[in-house]
Amino acid sequence: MRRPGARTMAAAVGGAALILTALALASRPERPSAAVATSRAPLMDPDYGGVTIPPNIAPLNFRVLEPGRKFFVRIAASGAQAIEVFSKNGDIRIPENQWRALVASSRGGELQWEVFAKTPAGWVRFATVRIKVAREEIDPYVVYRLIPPVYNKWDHITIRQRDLRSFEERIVLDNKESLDREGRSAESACINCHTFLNHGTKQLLLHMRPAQRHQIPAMILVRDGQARMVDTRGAGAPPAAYISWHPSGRLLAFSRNRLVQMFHTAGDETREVVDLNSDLGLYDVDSGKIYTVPQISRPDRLETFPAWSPDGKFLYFSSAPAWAEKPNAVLDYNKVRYDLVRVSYDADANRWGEVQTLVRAQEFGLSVSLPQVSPDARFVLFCGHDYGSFPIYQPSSELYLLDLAQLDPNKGAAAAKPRRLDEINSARSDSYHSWSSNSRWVLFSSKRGDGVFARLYLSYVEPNGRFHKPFILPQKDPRYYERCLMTFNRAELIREPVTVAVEDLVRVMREASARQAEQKGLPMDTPWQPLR
Amino acid sequence: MSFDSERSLKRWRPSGDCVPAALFFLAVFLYVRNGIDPRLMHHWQGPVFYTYPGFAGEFFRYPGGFAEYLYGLIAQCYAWRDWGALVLTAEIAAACALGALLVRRLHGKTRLLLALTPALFLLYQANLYYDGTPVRIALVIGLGCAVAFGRLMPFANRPAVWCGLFALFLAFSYYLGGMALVFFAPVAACALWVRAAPNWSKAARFLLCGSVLAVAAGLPFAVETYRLLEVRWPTASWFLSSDVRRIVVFWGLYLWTAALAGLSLRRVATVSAGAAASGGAGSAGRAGASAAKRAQSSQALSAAAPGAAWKRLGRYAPTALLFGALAGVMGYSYQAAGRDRRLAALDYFTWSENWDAAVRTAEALKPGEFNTLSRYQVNLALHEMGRMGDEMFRFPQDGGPLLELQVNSFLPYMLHLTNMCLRLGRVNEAEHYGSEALVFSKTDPRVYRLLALTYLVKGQTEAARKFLTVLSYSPLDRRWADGKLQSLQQDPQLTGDEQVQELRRRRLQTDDMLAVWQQANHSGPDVERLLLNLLERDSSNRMAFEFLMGYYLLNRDLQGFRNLATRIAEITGPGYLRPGGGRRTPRHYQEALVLFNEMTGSSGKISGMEIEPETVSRMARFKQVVARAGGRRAAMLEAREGFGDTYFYYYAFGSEDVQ
Repeated sequence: MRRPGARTMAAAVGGAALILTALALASRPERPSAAVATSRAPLMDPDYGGVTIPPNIAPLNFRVLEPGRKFFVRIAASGAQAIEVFSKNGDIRIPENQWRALVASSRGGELQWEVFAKTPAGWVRFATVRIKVAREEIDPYVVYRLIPPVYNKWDHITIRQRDLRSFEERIVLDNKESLDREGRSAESACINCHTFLNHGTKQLLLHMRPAQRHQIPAMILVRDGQARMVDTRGAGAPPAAYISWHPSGRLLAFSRNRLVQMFHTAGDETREVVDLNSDLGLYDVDSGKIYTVPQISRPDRLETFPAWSPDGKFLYFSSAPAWAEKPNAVLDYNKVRYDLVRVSYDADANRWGEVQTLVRAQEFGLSVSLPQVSPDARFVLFCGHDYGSFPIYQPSSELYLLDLAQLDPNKGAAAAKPRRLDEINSARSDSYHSWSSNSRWVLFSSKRGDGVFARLYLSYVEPNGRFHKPFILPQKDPRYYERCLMTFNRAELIREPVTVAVEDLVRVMREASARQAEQKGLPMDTPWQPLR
Repeated sequence: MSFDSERSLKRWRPSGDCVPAALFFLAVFLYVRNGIDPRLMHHWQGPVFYTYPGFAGEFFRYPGGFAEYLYGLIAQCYAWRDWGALVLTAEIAAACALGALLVRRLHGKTRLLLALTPALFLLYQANLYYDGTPVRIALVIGLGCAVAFGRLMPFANRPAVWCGLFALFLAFSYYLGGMALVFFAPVAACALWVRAAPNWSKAARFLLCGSVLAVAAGLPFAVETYRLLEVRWPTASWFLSSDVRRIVVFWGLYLWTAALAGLSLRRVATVSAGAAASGGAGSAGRAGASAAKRAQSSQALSAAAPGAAWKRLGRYAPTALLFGALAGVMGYSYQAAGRDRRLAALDYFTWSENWDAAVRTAEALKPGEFNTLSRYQVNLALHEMGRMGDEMFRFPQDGGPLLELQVNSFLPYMLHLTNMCLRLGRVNEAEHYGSEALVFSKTDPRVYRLLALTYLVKGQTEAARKFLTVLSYSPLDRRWADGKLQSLQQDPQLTGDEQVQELRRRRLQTDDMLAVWQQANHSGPDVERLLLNLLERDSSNRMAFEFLMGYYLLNRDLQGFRNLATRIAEITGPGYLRPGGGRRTPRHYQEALVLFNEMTGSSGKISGMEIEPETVSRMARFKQVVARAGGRRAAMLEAREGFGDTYFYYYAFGSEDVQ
């Protein structure tokens, strides 16, 4: 074959350059000109219009849902250089560095988003979208489980840590892929109920259930970077479920629950979890002693969802009359309602006071679950729903706020009027909330999007307890939530990253799994069985 | 021997090898199309492939992920019979072509038997419907890397460069194909040695030869053990599996590559011996010596008078052996995979709602091959064709007519369970079991499809949209998903969607809790109650009616049957209408009613049910046959011929196999 001549080569190179130039010109971003203004806001997904964001949040990437061939968004703030984003398909991906600089310089101020869409008739400009920037930052990390909607079986579970300042997500623990130092995995053990002391990660707890039915659930306690197993069973009682750290870090309150899973044959929500019996217990971290006190383990009451106050002087929890003694009592599952109560505790003297009812379910009309006290000890945030103690499965679940400053110490419950947070609730399940360490932000789970998959929402809280419009956890891909078939579960805000070595966690999990049960295997109606 | 000799290519005579190769692959194509049926492979394995951003990236995180990704793409073609057979044959041919290239380079001429040997193993592996291991792709990657390595070596004259190149291709084949490493390493290592070794001493060559053999023997174990650590998920193991059939395939292919490597070693030994004898050295000298030797051999052949004919005949022996082996593999694997094939076909035709084919396939099943799933499938096919009430007892019925409402780790079971609940109208159970299937099926589009439809029926359209959006990125489901999304856009209530509307009519509105039944001394869900609830919701629910009838008949509960039969007037469908108009009663229901009247002395009529005289007389004949037979077994044998497909026979003898 003859080698091509110089003229031919030059022609080929020139032609290629011409084509490349034409392509570059064709794809050059186009700024709007002579745009026609409309008075309405653009349709966006997610809808970030009117929200309040922390100054350290990742970019709020979104999609413009308006018809158009090209899109242009300008994000501006007073006294700062604007960000301009061009798009052909409506996906707006905001450059991270520019965003960080703009938002950080706009604390206490406002961002104005100008959205343009090019239609066949020309450019259209929509009403400016305004987003407030709070002065207070949010805790930079959130830890959650990302799982499919679980009914009875589990298989692959991961606990993930997301940096809220970026889109970085790290797997903290993977029940299949995380290995110990010998290269062995956790063999699909269930991992759940990660609980952090004072929004830090130096001390944390993890609940695990081995993948074999005859094996024993256990707690994994991490303290000073070391992981060890804690067996919270006692006298044949089931192991710990819900856990709360005393702020001193030396005491744990936990619940022991006898949960039964059932399934509705009609209605929007198929799953049901019923608590037949529960009590609270205490674990002394230094001595390893497990014990309880009568105030939190009455035989005629169900006690669950322990939550310590930030000063450690009160233990809040949900409490309901015992109900499941008679046969087929489970038929009355939808008649059980929990009160919100608290009991005082003197840590120095190790003395407990009397239980005080703050919200009576009978008067309130709803069941109370998942109480969480704000770090500034001003408020108690909890879920109120039609019945029972599993709000994520209750479309009726909504968030309520109790202002502790309004409590009359003499009247207690009589003076407490929880406020329904209409500014953040939706028509579907809103539940599992976590306060930021500065009490200015709340993260909660909501199924408002589709009723099936829980997503994480953030909302700013004013010191007087007024919440701002919540916004969904931002993702790098604006279309992420359109095809995400996983649910965000058990989200907790933390101030620092998890640093415990995953190899140690897996080692302890394997040690826990290796123990054989002294009792029979889990009953058939126990929820959440291993897949194999 | 020279790896870079272009003369070896010129020696290839297309007309000599092409015809038998073409015939060979034509036979492979026909067998794959008609004997294996790629549609069954596709259905059984459920290969997953999506085009949404991030899908591919999940595969490239671990060694061998690329091969699995490519397999997922290629296997989409198996959804069609002809196209799938063509693609699968092409995959096998590609592997053999690379093998042929290696054989030619290593041996100087094509050896058809050796080059096409992998096709026999790959064809056998294709009969293992459940096995989605990307072995064909891994083989192509491994051999392709070996060929490329051989082509690049001549461009450098330094052993260090060769070793570097070897390491590079080793890593490349491992990353792309995972286990492809075992197909690349032996051949390439020997090629490397062939280049370097001629200058070494005899002792060094001997030592290295031994080392290579030892490594080669342990290579599959080592790679698989380490790869499983890296991959962690239980991607099917190859050489350490307990499945004997798979082990035969993978070890066979590995030993074949080892044989290729052995060719190069033998050739070096031959050339080295020749070089030592002549005192010469260098690859050109060796090539010349071997060429001269073959020329001499050829002359000797043609010159010899007696036995020449036998020797000429002997040239065709390898081809005959090859085709004989092919016939043997086809025959054996077709026979050995018969059960899997029949069950896979029944599952496939049921899933794709080809009811006629499903029934015909069920007729080919052996009695021992009926299980809970296959029984349900044939009953469903008969129901859909309006023949359940006439023909269900043509097939072995041993157990309930429905699938058991419990989680099973066998994905086809869960798919049909979810589908069954949806068809019946137990939509919440469909959501339950479909979601359970999600846990271990991961991203199977069939599960997504079922859940999308479930949520559409429930009116939870936003949840349905998510599944439909994901499905719009699946090549085979895109059209269906986009159609549904468009329908939702135009008609959010889906009032024009007949399937959704009918399922909504059937959907239970009364809440109940399954665990309650369990506590009421039932070991499992109460089938009777399950189906009666549905009929109370929609009295025209023919599926609930017919399966409940089947339940009563199978349990010999004639009173229950009689009570339910009063609803028959509300049931419509082809099985209840005569061709010329007017209603008819399915045969088994007539038989059961005749039995009931006989046993209770009742003669009451049921509105909508008619007993034909022929049914009464058939029962009389059945009783005569049974009465004159000496003993139960004899009666079974006697009655089976004329009454084996009647309810009379089942009521008397069950589904016991008389053989």
